[in-house]
Amino acid sequence: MATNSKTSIRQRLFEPVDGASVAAFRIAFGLLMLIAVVRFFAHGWIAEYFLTPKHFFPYYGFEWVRPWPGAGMYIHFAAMGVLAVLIAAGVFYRASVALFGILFAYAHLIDKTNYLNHYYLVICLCFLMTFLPLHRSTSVDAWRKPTLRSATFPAWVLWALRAQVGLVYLFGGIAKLKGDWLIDAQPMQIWLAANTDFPVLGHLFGEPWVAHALSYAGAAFDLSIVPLLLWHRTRLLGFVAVVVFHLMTVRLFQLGMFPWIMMVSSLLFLPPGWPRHVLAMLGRRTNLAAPSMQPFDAANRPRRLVLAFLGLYFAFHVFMPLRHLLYPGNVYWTEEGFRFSWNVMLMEKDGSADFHVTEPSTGRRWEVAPTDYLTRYQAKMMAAQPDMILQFAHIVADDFRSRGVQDPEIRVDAFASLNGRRHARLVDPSVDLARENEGLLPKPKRWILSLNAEDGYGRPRSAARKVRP
Amino acid sequence: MRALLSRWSRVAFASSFAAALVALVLVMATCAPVPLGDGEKRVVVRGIAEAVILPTLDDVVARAEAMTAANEQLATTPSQANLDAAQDAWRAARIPWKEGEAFAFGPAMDLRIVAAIDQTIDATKVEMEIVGTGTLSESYVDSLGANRKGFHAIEYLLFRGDDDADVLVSLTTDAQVARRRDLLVALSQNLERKTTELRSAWAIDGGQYITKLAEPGSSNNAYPTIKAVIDTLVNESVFLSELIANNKLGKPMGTASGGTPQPELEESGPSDNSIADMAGNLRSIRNVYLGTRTGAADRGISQLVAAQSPETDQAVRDALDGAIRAVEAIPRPYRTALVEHQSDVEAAHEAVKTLKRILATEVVAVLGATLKFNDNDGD
Repeated sequence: MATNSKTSIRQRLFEPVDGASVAAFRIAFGLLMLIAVVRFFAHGWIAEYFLTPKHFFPYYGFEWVRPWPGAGMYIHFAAMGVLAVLIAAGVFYRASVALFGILFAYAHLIDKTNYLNHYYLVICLCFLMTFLPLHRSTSVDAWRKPTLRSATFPAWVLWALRAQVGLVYLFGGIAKLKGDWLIDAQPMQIWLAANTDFPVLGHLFGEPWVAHALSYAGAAFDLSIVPLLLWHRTRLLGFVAVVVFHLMTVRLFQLGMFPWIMMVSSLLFLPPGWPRHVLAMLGRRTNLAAPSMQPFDAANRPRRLVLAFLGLYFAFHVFMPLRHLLYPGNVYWTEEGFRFSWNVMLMEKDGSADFHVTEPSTGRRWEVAPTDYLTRYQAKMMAAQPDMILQFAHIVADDFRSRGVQDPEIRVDAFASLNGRRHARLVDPSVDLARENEGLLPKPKRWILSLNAEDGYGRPRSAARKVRP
Repeated sequence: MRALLSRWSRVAFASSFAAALVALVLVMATCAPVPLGDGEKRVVVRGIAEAVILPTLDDVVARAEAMTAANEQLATTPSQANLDAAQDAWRAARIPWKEGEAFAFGPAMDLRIVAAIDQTIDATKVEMEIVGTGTLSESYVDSLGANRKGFHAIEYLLFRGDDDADVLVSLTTDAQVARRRDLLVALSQNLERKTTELRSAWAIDGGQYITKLAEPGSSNNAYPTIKAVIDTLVNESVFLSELIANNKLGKPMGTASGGTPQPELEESGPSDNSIADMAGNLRSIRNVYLGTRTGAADRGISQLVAAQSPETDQAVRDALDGAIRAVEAIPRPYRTALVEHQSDVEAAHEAVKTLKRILATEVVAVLGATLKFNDNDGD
């Protein structure tokens, strides 16, 4: 029985489906990316993120990724804008989406300060789309090269995109199944209280039960939206929920492109021929008939390769959001395994960090204001994120070495407040961070103090040892 | 019948589950703090505007006028008594000005008032104006760069540490005595004009910035939401506390020079007014936080914080009182305390850092304030 169902699933992944919805997704994705790029120009973010800062917080292994000199970053983003148009139009599609993904990833690998979940989602989608033949329908490529044309796609193309988007909701929902969210309704309560002038509903946002109700609703939404969209009886309800939920987040929180990307992506869960129905409703008469569902020739398809690729890809994407389990402590506090895990809007964390430099041979001591090195935004983001605190300690150590200070020791008074708790010490102030290093393997940072749930004050984590006095 | 029962049992189960969920939500909600609503927040902001911002700006203007009068008197009749009066007037003018730094946004930035009247000066360039040939009028001073006018240029002309005799000499027998006196008067008049412009920009019968702050809404470009107003007020307090800790207290202590005190970096060195300046800044933060200039009422940002976390509110009040007390306890002048009373200076530094820490972490967190240095998207 199990073997039969496996075979059935495998067969169904290679059955033809109407390619209209994935073609529409490609066009919408390209246009959204164009808007995203335009916003970088319009808001002055290119200068603010890449030209103004004197120092950056690169990701481990990507220290070589630096902003281009001169007008390089403007050219970089302009190229992304052109590529986004090419993706939408389906011109040199695979090269366009691959190059766009590389340029997008490059820009966002420069500085952790600017990490956003939806940037990661864009990178994932670009990677995935590079392997998906989304240019076979409604594209300039298909118009130029008739042999490429196909109104149908193997079902796995559609399901791969659905899975990518569905994982965001699934792990976003799983991440909400924690005490802060479900018991204390935090950080929802803080955010609603700050937005009591929200149209129509704002007067309710001060009511504690609303924060609890919306917290549960948010978790239920994330965990149920994919099945709601997939099942024909609940699809309409699900789609309305997607639109209402994301439009609320647009007004409540400053989420930029994220809600729009998710709303567009939710269209993938509708029946794959939906664009034809929409065009029919709009009165368009040409090419609206559903395509013939000719089965693909199994002999010509590297099916095992496709399945192996999808298996590996999605195994990675299941591992990433769960990797925080390899580390002790509260992931929102330590942030070990926090990024690339669909922890979307789950914490209100604010920090303050004062760094001290000591020269052991002379006993001379300096205090370092992060804003002497960083932009105020970088300093704010760094102050609450332990791995960035470590990176900044090394920036300071390098600077003092270059100024002739022998073997500078860097210590920090770092405090943070998480989801309405009293502020607590985040980093062991006795540890010389200049001697601590980041690593690729999941090795807990012992110098991060634990968040004591009872009194909110930092203590060494239970499994912790003091690294150095 | 079985089907009906089965259906009823499903309905009953679903209803029980839903009821239990609602009950659970209500039970947990009753344990949660009750934040202030939109209307109450607007009352808080209006209270800060009316009880703190406008009266402080009125004082700034009144003290600036008094300082101009005192300096005109000194320029007309230089004497020790008139010098004392001018120095007192300068110090008196500093008090409300420093108490206004927690709301040095909006017009203060748009009109470049802070840059025009409270920047570090270059004494050499002030002397160049004295020996120069330009007519030293108020309008001429207005055209000068920030490093040769404002409070500290006047301070430069009125104070030499403890050496008033030297100041009197410069105003009576110096080769450039007339131009020096003219510059003193012109600088004072320009400062008075700038403070008047600032108050006017805030006033109901002027630029009405006070209305912008107190009445956020979609048609209000500066403050489309009440959150934007509160973010701004909190941001300014965090920024000012950092400035006091890092620059005003810290750098003269030697935090940037390996522990060697740098008294030349204190804010108001010639007048020995740096400690009073810092205390004024801290009172500025306290006034906005409490919504009053008396230090007594339960209004202001305090009311918003207390509604969410009474413990945090108390901790902020304690930190504010502790910081003001510690700074005022530094033996004057600051330049000697940096060398002779380092433990007092360090205690004050630590107290201000404690305040900065609680503002930047807990207050920002419980208010859901965005420490907004850019308009980045977040998820």
